[in-house]
Amino acid sequence: MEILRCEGLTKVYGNADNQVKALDHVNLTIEKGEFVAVAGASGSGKSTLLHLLGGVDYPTEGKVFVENTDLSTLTPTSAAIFRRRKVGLIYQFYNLIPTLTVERNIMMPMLLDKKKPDMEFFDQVVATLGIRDKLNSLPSQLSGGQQQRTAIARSLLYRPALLLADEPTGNLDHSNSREIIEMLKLSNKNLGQTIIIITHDEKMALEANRIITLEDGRIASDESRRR
Amino acid sequence: MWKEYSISYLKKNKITSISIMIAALISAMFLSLITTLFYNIWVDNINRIIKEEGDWQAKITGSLSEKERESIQGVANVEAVVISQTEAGMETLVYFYEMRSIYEDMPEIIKLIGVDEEYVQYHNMLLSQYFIFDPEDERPPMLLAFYVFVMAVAGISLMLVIRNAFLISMQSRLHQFGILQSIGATPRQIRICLLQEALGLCLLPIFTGIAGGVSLCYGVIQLANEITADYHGEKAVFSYQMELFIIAFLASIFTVLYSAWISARKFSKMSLLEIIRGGEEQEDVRKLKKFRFISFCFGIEGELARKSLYVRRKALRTATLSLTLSYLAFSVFLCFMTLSGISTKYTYFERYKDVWDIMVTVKDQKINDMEALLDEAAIDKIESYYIYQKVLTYTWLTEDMLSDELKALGGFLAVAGTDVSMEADRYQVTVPIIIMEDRSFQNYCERIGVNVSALNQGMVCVNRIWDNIHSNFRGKQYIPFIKERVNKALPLFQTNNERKVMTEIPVLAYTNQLPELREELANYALVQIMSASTWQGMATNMRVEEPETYINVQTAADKDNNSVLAEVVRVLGGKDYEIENRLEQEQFNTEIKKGYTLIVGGLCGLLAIIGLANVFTNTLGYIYQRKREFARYLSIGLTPQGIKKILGMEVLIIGGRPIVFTIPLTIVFVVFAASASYIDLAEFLKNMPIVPLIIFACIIFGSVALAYYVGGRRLLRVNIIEALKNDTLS
Repeated sequence: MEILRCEGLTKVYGNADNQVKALDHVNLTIEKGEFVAVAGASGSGKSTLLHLLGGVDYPTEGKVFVENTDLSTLTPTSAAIFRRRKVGLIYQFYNLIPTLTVERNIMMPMLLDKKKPDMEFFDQVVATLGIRDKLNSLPSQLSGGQQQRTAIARSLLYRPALLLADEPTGNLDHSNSREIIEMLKLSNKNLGQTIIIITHDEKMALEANRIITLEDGRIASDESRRR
Repeated sequence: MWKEYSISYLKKNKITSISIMIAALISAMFLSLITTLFYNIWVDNINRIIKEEGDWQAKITGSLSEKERESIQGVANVEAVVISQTEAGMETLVYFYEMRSIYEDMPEIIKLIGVDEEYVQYHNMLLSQYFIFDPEDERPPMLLAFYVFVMAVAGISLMLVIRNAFLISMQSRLHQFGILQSIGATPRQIRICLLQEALGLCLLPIFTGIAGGVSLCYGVIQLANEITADYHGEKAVFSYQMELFIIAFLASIFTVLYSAWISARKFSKMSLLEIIRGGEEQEDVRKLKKFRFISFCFGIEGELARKSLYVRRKALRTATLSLTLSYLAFSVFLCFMTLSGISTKYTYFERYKDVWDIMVTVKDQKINDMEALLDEAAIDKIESYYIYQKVLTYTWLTEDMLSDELKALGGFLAVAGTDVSMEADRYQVTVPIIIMEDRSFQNYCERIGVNVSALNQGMVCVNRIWDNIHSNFRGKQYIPFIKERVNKALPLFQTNNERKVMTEIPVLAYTNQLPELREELANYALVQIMSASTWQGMATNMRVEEPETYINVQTAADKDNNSVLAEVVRVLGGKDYEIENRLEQEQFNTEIKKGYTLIVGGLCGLLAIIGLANVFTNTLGYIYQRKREFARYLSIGLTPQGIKKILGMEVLIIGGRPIVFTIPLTIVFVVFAASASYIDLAEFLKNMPIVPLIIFACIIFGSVALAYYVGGRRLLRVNIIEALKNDTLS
């Protein structure tokens, strides 16, 4: 079942005299439950693609549909609510809120919606990610790996349609990187979570069941793999 | 290269530059205002003391020989020796070159000429103005020290505003300097760059601020003169010295350079990576309060706002302290003025409304001459008047002379306590005598229903004492003081340490009503009213002179006051007299209150401005960090409305905190002050200064909201992607 579709997705930065085309008419479809790696050299447009898919930025041209919602037509408020409910964003530098405990950070999207989280699912997520004993800690009291696991837990709690990760292991050592990848794979496998991961790391890309390679804002290759 | 970099940065970040310039301008202006104002108060104090008590520094009473004077003049530190003839006799005034050693030199001088220490006086009041205190004085006059302390606190606060503005501005540039350092800029180059920027930005605002402060001070003095123009006293004269400019300038410039240097020094203590990340370590929160109440009431947005403010509490300290202190001081002051107004109304203006309108004090005139003078003038529109003199005498009372009512309360000591002195089995009681011109005395007797056959045979005893056990001073109840024994003479003494009876005057009648006079008589005194004839006939052996005669006038209506006053002035032409006008006093009192409110309100406003300047520098200075903070929120689904809510909550907390602190403290103050002065709280509530307090609160809220609106507009334009990974020079 299709969960995401891009049609002629184009993003141009800069003014008329100094234009940079970060994405150039990208067409893409992703099925529910896929684990996709977007690879490419620096400046190839992969982060731009992720931001457009996450409703963080607007395309200059083209459309993005997530569960049949056209993101390019959303108002800033609707886009925020979309990010809260439909996508889970994971950044290289975690982007946890330093003034909130791990527990409040994870619950944040739900709190913004004034909803109470499903505590059973919450327990399952924090247990799986191994941060149950850190719930009352502040982000600054955690290691990098623990902070990234917190960010993953936050992105999973709302059971979003899409989980978008921008270099999620870029700031971690080898052992922590390995663990994070395993957890993403686990959530893909056990929860059926659709995951799109941006990476430079070839080994990490090989963990995905589909690899899309971008070059100069265009899809250079799109290959499915069997894990 | 650095010059170009600085100019380019300042041009591109106008708001940050302007906020530093405004901080420097405001601080220099108020620093200059405070120093100039206190200098003028100091000069005024010295002039007043010199005018009232002379400009001498030390003096020796009694005659000194020519040789002794020459010996004094021979002392190295003595500038001049001046002989002065006063009513008390000869005095030798000694002036020193160096006043600070006066308390060491003067004992040497008297030793030299062999004069006893008791003949030496120091002008302590004048000397204290120069911070010269008698080493043996355990309680030297500390008013000036208090002024200097207030000035120092205000000065330091203002210096902190400049420092804070710099720190905030530097914080927002950390990542830029980090990048510059990463490509080879040395810390020294960055320090010099910052110092140059600081001087470039602040020199003009400092000069303008100092000039503005001096002008404001001039305005304040003119305003004070304006308020008191129609009343008594001399006009204050504005004076200024170059030293004041130098102090304000040096303090401002030192603070600017020090602040820039402190900011620069911060770099050397941070790792390059930390600097590049734009001081992100500031958010490295290790311990945090929970703020459950705010979370419960205002949701996650409230919690985020409160915690964000908590993390930035050091940067906002000046704002928190200044705004809270200003609002608290303003609130307590207004409540104090209201309570004081209520008190004055009941203890003075209301109480004397039907007692006097014009009060004349004539010196060195016979009481009967005054009567003839007023008769002759036949002034219209006078409802009534009393002409009288006052004499203070004493008497002894034994226990059996006290009234049964007083005994029932536990006796004289139980009521008067330490106000009464006792010897053996008798009490010494003050006896104020009101000597009324005969016709005034007759009027008084008629009013109280006492029939006095002859005016020269005795006095009327106001036989009452305040029952302070069953009533307070605001609603005094009285009981009889002594047993009434008509025609029994009361022995009177002239001074309180004499044992000999000077005279005995029969008491013709007893009453509990005082004549309607503007007199504050002692609480536990036995007041006697007598006619001028009785006084002249029976008290001839008392060595009491009555140099002052009082005329207590009540006019037919308030509107007649001025015409009666004019007529009285005409009649008294050529005599030595003073006139008080109740309505004018009331008006003067109101004007003085307005003046006080204006000055204290101004000072509170000054404090508030310091706090608001800090809020502005915070909202405009931390844009970079706050953009990152809000980008984080936005990336996980906070809406732009949510950001507005957070900013609104911060306005509410910053603006509301001074009010929340002030309300309970003011209530405690009012309850305490009202109960201590026996003022009815309901009366206070009716006159509560609610409007000015609401206006002040609105100004605080409005200004904080404006600061957040200006800063918020820039924050709301945040680009999530750029904010989350902005390492570029902008």
